[in-house]
Amino acid sequence: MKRSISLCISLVIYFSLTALSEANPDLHEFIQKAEEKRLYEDRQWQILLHYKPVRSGYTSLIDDPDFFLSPVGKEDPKAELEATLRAFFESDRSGDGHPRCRFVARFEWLKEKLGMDASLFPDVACNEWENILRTVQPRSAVLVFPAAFMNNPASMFGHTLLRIDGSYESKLLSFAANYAADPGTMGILYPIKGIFGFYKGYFNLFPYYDRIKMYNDTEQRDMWEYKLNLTEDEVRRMFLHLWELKGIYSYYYFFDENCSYNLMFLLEAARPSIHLTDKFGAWVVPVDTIRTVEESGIVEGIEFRPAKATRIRYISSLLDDKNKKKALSIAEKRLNPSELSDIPKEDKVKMLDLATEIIQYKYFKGTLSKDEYQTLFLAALKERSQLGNSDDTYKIPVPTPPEKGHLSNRLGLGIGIMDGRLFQDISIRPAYHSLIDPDDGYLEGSQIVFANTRIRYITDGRIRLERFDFIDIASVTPRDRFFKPLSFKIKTGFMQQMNPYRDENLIYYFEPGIGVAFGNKHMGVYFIMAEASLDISGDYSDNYALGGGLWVGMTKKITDFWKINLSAETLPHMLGEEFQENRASAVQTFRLNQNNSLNLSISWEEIFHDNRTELELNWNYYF
Amino acid sequence: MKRLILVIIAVSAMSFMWASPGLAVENYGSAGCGLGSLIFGDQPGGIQVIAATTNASTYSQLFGITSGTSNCDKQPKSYSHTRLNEFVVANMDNLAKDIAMGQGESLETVAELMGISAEEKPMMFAKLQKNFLNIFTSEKVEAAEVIDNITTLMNNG
Repeated sequence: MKRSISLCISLVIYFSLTALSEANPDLHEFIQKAEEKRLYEDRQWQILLHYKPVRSGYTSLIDDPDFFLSPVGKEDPKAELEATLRAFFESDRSGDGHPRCRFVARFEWLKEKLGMDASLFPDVACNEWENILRTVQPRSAVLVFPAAFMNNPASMFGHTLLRIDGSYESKLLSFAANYAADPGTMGILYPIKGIFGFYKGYFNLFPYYDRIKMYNDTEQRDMWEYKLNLTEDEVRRMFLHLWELKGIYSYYYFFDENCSYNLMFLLEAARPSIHLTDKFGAWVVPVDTIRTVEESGIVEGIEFRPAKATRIRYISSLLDDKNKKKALSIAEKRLNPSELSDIPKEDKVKMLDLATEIIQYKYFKGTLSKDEYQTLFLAALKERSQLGNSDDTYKIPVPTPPEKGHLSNRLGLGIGIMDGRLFQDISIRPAYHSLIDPDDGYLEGSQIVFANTRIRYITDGRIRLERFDFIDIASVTPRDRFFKPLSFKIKTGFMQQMNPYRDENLIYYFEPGIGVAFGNKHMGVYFIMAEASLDISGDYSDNYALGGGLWVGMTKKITDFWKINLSAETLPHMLGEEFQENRASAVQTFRLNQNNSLNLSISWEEIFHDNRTELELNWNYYF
Repeated sequence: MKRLILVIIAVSAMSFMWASPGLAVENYGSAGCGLGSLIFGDQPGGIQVIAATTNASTYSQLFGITSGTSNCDKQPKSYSHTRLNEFVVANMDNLAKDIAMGQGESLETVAELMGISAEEKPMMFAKLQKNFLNIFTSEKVEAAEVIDNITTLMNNG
């Protein structure tokens, strides 16, 4: 209903404007000129309106009718251009609602292309626009990537936003453009709605210091800042387009029209000669957008902004165990900051710096009340200030940047022996990273696998689907003195498994698990998880088997290119079909280069009192 | 074919999202004028909180505000420079930390907003560090006061 009314109103406005043009010879002339030059086919027009070619012509990816001045603007570039020109000549209103105040990028471009003189357009007092232009003063731009965060499905792949720098030297005073969905009242349908486009996505602009607080401090995410070589004119053009998108929605699709994809339109608006939005297919992974942007040649540098958690871990590594404990005691109110006598100044400085960071972190987490926080924070800072200057610019080591990690798709070719028989495997995985892939550029201990498919040819003539995992997601994050995360996993799909008749067949499985991990890079990471397992198969009594058990494992990087993963699992099934399932495996991963790795694995399983061993060598190619 | 792949991946992702340990919703707005202003309003530990909001036009549409000071409108006496006040209200904690350490990004930002030249900065930072308690006079000190205290210190040679 709302849509028909708005369509009605658009039509009325449209026809009155049409009548207006007949009375305005200039407008008529420009419309003709625009048609002759076929401006509606120009790349810049397509970018500004987010048009994509479809079978019947074009359609804009923007869904909000307010973005179009013609009632058929979403599908008709020519009609939209004409309606836009008419709207610019509107003389019966002024102020921020006027099309010349709203569609500033279109106006600037059309003025230039059609040689329209400024004198034709009396001032309409675009106060809001002028105000924001004055506040932001767009000069240069930086593409920012807050790293992946496993505790939130929307953040597993990281995120991207665009920082717009002005005339201030301090980047904290810059603004960050961001595209995000507005979930309104969150409910159980949140994932479905996010995937299938039921949420409206908007562009917004926040102070950069605020985004740092959110990603860096509260969410513990490192941030990567990719400086772009866009000129001031180009950044200004981009900002003009961003203004046009203010308050305009398009339906948010988690897989393809997501936060990272939509930012690409802004970059294209800055420099139309680069092609970004047509370089993606069915799904857009944030790190892939960084790669594409890099390939377009507009990245000129990269800076690393470590998260508070990263800072805490680094400063802590500079202290011995005793002092580490004391610093933590201060943050836990068990030791007064003024009681650090007899400790050399350099160590005291580090301990107080560490305690301060932990106090802030505890407050973010809700462990300290505001009053407790204010007291503790000031007490620690008071002590620190009395120690004067120190060389405490902590030079936190920069990890491998995310775009240098292996590419998102994986093709695997394997050869091996099972039950004395030779086999060959081919596997394909469109996303994203597993515990046995080289970690460089990825969040350590994270696994995000979608649609993993493996087909096996056994030399006795059988070809079969070895497995198809819908998802296999895990996060193995060690707990330490300062951070106590939970580790978890969830996986579901089809796999070959032994049945009561000494044969193997495809079953459907679902396995969630939760647990803890501890350790570090040097000694290795060890985990233990409790898991549940539901298997569905026609060969089982009542067609199912339900059980619960334990999964333990460890991972250790032996050299730069060599990693080992060990795991063992015991899973008694007690309802439906009753049986014991035990597994163990050892996988060696060798990183050959950014996009090639080898897995050498030996695995053992015992199901229905039948056991067997499998040895396999897999070559993985990422693309 | 693309649809099919998408559906397959969608089924996969959905099962994960439902099982996810925590979901976050952005809540914009800082809490008052003193230490401890967060982006999550008055709720520290915002990550674990699913903040239900029925107002569809909430934070996702904010555009270009420089002020997180939704509930702080006290102005410093020494400066009518709103950007400075807004920055200090929203970043007071990091500013305090930087002043105590004698260096840092937030401190550099405040110096820039106050028009301090590059040559004057080292002296300013050293002075502020030495006088930490004269700037952050109590646990409940507020941004406007902090700015005024800094100004007083800078003016007293």
